Amino acid sequence: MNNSRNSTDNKKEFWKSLEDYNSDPEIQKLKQNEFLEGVTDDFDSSKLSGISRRKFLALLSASAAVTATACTDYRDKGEIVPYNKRPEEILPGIPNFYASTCSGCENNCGILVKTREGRPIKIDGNPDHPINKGKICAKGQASILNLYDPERLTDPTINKSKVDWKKVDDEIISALNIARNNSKEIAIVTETITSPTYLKLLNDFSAKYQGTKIYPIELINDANRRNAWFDFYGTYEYPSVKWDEANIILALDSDFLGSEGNHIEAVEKFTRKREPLNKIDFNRLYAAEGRMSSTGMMADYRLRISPDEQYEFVMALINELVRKGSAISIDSAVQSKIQKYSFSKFEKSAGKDKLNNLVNDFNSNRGKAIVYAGETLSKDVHIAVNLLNEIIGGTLLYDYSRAFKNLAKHSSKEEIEQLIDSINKGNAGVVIHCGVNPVYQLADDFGYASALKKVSTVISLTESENETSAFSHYTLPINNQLESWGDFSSRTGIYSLQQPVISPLFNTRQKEAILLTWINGSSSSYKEDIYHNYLMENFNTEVYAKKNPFTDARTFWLSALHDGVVTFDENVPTSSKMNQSSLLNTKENQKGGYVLHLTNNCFVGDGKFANNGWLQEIPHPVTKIVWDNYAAISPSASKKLNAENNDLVEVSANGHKLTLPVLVQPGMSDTTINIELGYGRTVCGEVGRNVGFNSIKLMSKNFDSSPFIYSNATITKIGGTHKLASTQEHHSLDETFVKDFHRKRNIIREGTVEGYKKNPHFLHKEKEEIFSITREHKYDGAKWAMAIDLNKCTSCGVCVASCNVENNVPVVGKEQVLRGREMQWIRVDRYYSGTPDEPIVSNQPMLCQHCDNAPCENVCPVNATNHSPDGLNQMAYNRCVGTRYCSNNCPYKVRRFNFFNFRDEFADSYYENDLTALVNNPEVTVRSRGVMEKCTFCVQRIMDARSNAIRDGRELKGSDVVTACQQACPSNAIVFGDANDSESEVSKLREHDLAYHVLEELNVKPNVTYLAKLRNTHSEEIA
Amino acid sequence: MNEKNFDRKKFLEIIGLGALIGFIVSALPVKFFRSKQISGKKVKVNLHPSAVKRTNKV
Repeated sequence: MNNSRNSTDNKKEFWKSLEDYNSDPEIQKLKQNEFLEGVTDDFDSSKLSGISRRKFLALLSASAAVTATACTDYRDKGEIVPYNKRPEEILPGIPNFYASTCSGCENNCGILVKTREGRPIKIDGNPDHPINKGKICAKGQASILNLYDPERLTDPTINKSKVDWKKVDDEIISALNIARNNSKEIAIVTETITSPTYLKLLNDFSAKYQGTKIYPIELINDANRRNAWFDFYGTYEYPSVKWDEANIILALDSDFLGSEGNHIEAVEKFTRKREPLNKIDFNRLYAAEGRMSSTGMMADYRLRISPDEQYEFVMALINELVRKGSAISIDSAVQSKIQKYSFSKFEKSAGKDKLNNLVNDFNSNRGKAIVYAGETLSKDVHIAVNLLNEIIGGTLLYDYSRAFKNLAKHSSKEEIEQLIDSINKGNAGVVIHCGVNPVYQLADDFGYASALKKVSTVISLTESENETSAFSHYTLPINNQLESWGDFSSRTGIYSLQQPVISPLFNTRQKEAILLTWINGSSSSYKEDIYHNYLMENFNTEVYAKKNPFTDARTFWLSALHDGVVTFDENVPTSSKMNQSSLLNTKENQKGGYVLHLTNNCFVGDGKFANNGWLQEIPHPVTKIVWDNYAAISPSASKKLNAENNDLVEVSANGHKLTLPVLVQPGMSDTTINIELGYGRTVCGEVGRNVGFNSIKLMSKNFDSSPFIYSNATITKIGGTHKLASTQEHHSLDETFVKDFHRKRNIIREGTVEGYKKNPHFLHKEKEEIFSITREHKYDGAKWAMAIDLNKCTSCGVCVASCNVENNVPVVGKEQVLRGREMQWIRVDRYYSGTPDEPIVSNQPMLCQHCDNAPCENVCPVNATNHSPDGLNQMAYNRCVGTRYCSNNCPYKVRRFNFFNFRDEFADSYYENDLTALVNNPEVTVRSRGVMEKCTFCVQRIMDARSNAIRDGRELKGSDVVTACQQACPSNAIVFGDANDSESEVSKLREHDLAYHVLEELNVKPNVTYLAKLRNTHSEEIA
Repeated sequence: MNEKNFDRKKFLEIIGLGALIGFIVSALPVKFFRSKQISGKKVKVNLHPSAVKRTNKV
């Protein structure tokens, strides 16, 4: 049933925010104004202080003299000299590429690092890696900035005083020996172990220092899924999912397309069944969730079910399906347990029709349907989901050839408590933290920080200062991932290698090398290649010997480094007979009041990337908020609370409290409070310090079923506000601006699969002839164009991250974003339709459309923006005088003005230093204050491809050029190429039935074509 | 200031003072102190000798 807000001619209306939906007078006023308030205020000369003409002229001349003398920069930037003896690997101007592996999270995606003159400048996915296939997430893209972080640790310290490595090694080896001799525990608290060599090293360490215990911890982990798998199937390894073969997918509070698990792999596979080019065979996605996630935004049907009700929902679904006939036999004890659950409880919140559709879809797609539970849900929910997948045949979609391995289990809550207990009793001699931050990541009631004070030797191996290193006696700086050797095997049959693409910039060491030195028992045993040799040795034993290739070990090693990944057949325990009785021990969540749901943030993660300005400034995929987290609640909950956006509230759960701003989020369940983790760091670089609110303060070791879900939570408005910076209301395209037109602006065009099958030309039945008074210009040679498939865009933001890195886009900070001055060249607009309780979300990447009749080109008084012979709208930065008339005229609002030299302006010139300057792509101008910039279709890549084609003596093909956003997009939603080549993919997409242009009626002739989104609903109407 | 007494000498005095202040200010390392400095050493970028590069992008 279409509950959309309809206009008088019954066409669907879109709204961008709740204020827009409720016709808030402020928003109506904003829509009338192109610019934010205050910008166009008249100049009131009466407010000036009295000054005589003579004095004015005198001061004017003095200012001119001051300016002239100040326009000098005495700082010597050094000389540029050619190589006297050029390193063999370097050709100035030609980039080198190195295969490696990202260690930003436990997915360990294969990466290809682009370097120029010996320094890495861009990280992209390794196309040879069978899992991520040339794509990585936004964190991976932006992690290059971490290498050049000016606040990276550079030298080892003892109690915050810099020392040399010899002293540190000697003292620590001595401490380790004392602990071993006194039978004290040596605790190594480390991140998730996915490296076989690192695991071997830890075992060697344990063998050398008896009493060593290893504690792998991770704030956001899949422990509940693994433990449930173990209870149900008897193994800790669980399979991946063949998303590309699933017709029906039910995601239970699972953001598998946005922030959970290997979402890059999931997006690529999922969107294979969202391909409109060939025969339409779309999958259908149901999202049952309490919050609004990226997966929920992609869903064809959304069911509002709060996280503490998911268990009952799954049991009700099992009951319903078993009633209609199950393909497997269900134990009688399990049958009697599930019988008390019924759908009727969810009919009101989820909708009876949707529930019936879901059950019918499962029944008619046995073997092609799957249910996937989110990693924050309890183990009990996962066990129930395992049974449900057995019933619907979802097990046929399990892929054991690429299962998730379990090299070392995460430490359980009990094990961490044991460690702390051991420390408190004085039984721990040394605690070593390897790349983890437990003081920040563990709930306060563990008492970890106070326990650490009782340990005589606390060591922290970290790249930057963090909350744990603040409690450590020894803080040892470790190499960045781009300076490190490593190997990773998180999936069966895959062994990825990590190699350093640059020598360590500072006096840092690889953490494994540090541990090896301690194993060897002497500080003098350290050599720079100590871990490199250890890794090679293990590689030869574990991989070379098993793979048995027709070549010698050295050649095989070098070729493995070249490729970045080795694949082989690996046996993994497949699911044995299921243990249905494990369901008998499961129970419902406690209920009452609100339920607090703590979730992963796809950009800052567990807080590791808090100091990365690029990641802080990429708008959140759903809320478009930057530089903050918040308590997201539903519109109904906000009415009950009488709270609006930015109002401060106190959220309380399990005896813990946190004050933070509220965000009213359409589509949420009325009893859910969703807060993202990873913010509120206090010991961090200047960029990330005190940004957001530390929601880990709300966690407790005494959780009911999941450390991320707390029932009986309360939320109280306490007065005061905290302004949240959102990019959504900036650069908006206002549909009411065109007074003489009565139809909608058709910025978002959508349909349904059923409607499209019946009438493929539904999109163009209303198309009007656009009259032009000028002749169309004919482009000889290549004419660049782009097509974006809205069926595949998940609003993940990787395109934004990739563009930022490629084009040296500056970070501006929260204050400037509040003024609408963020500098990203590409944005993803998010539109709602329907009602605030049941919204339907549409995402649309928006960038410079490179219009053939560009309205910005005609108005530039100095011709700084003009059109190239191959169809690009160009910017000559050194002609621009900053009138901003082009931005005024741009209907898409995609132009960005440098109000400041943001490198200087942001955080006291945080990024204006010799180190961070190394991250800049030398092929792209670094813009200064006073010039306009915008997407260039990666003109530097076009020029590079053109010069290669000229050198090779061939024609330039459209497929020779891949823009940064296209390269990064995990769903391949962005296609770029030559519109003059009728065989190119972009030409085919431009001619597709679903193709349309935004604001086509303006006759600006944009060269970005969008493919209308088709929702796979049962009816021809979008529900 | 009394406009009638504002003669050429005074005018040039102001100009000169402004220029002097500008010269002194520009000579002060204001920006030098504002920007984040890593240790006084220059950052050295070196290739890693054991890294194996790809012969082409894909």
